[in-house]
Amino acid sequence: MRQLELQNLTIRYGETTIIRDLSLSIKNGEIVSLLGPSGAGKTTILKTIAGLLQPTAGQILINNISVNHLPAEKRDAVLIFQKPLLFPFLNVAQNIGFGLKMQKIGQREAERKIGRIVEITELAGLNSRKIHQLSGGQQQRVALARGLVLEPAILLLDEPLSNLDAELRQQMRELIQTVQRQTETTMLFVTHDQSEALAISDRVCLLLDGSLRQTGSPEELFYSPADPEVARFFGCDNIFTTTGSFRQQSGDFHNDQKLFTIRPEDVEIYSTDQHRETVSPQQFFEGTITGVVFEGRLTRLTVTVTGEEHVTVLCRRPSFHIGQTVWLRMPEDRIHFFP
Amino acid sequence: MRGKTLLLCVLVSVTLPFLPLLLWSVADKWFYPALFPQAFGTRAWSYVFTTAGSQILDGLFTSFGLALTTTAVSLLLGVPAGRALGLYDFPGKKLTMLFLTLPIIVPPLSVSMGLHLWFIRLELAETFFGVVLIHLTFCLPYTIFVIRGVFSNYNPDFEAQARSLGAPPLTVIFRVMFPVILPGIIVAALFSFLLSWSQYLSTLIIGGGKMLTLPILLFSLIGSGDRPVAGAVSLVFILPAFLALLGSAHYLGRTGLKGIR
Repeated sequence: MRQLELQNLTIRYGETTIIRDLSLSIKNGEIVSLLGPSGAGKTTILKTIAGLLQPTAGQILINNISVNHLPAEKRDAVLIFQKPLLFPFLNVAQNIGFGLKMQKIGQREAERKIGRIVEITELAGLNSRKIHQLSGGQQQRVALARGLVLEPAILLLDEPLSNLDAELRQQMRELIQTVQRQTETTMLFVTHDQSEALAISDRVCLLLDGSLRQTGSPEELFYSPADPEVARFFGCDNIFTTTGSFRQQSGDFHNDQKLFTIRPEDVEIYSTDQHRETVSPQQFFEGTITGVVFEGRLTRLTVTVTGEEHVTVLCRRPSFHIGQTVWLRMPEDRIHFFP
Repeated sequence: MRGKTLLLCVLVSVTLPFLPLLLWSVADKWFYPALFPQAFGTRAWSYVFTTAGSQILDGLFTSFGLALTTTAVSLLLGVPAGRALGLYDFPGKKLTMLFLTLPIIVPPLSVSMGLHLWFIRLELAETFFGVVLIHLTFCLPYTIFVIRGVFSNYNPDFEAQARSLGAPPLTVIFRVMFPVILPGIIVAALFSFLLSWSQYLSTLIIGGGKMLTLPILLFSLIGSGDRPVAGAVSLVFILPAFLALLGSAHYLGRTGLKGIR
């Protein structure tokens, strides 16, 4: 049983409230990521769970037992910081074994555990290396191994990939997933990088302005955001009301006033209206290109519909220019209405 | 080649001042305008080892006892204080720093004279403890400033990480903080030791002639005009300090190579 539960957690620094009434439950063997912009208080939450900070109110339960009164070293949760923080006066094996030594685990048993974790984290042969002889990626792996070797109920990871370059980050991300599958450790992973959160986790919790906005599978958060701010966080600026310009262009768009969103990559764009016959006309809108930004893989187009609604469209290799008249199609099944 | 020349220059400039001492200590006759002593002899050294032997040995013990106690106390107080000044922000931090520099800025004579009155009232004058206290007024600021410098480069997250890995607070201090700041502690200890070792004025005033440290013996010998003996005692005085310096330099050089900043 490796579970973590946060009940109505509130954290204040003096007068400012960092985290407001946060509840979250993580089940056995899950990777849950806590996603939020920088300064949202993600690290504060991790430090509080680890016991390095005291919550102002609320309960922290590990394996259904309240740990609020326990000091950091007695909690069955290990925090791995953003920086590797390897002890420079110890070598790789001694760093990995630090926690085992604190638990007073026998030499032979410790060696066996270190050996296994070194194997899993692909650090074999580096045992007696000094820390300054390791590359950044290796240091980060040692930091991960140092936490994993303790087999804690909960492993708390604070942006462990943010100091690595793109290629290493990809490798580490896969490594964390492999390790998680092999060790079945329950992980709470903090990041500000949405693609990282979506790729790595079973569930994503989005933290905005100190409270949890939405929790769910990566697909849920991405395609069915709970409110416009969640949608905007995932890079979707297309937030409209059904009573706006779309209604004017097609009388029976949607009758009651509602907020809706559509992913920029789901909007179809045509240079003629010849497809109008093949699809239902209420999904078809005429507009003018008012912005073209080339972003590499995709190009970001801004299409202004009836002079007031600005629709963002992402498409591959477009041949549109500013001022051109285009037709947009918003497929019915891609439109998401906010509750 | 340039490096070697530089090294030679440094060596010469460091050792040259000691050469006259060495020459004086083995001189029997050395009058103006001779460049070197006219006659050599072992009178000074035999005086140091036989006639004044027990007195100098006592002085050596007193000096060592004082310097080591002062160093230990100044580290015991200086490490927490330096940590607080280096890591945390608190009201009155700048004022505290100013107060700490006062004994360094104000001439030692006025500090010692001023405190002497108080030490007499508190019955601390002419005691070992009193002399340790007056040495501390000079050693402690240096220790605190060295340790503060170490901690302003120190990442307390190392300690949080160790806590999270299961280390209780005391273990964190001795197994994580201590190894990281050890080079700073050695420098601070060396400062304290050398400063206390070479105190003359404050020892004389507060010790009131009861604490016969090496510098006090040395000054009385120099005052008596016996230059060969003063030279020999000076060398005896310098040797432990020189060894402490070499030892710490050796250690710091080694840790530098080990990759600890």
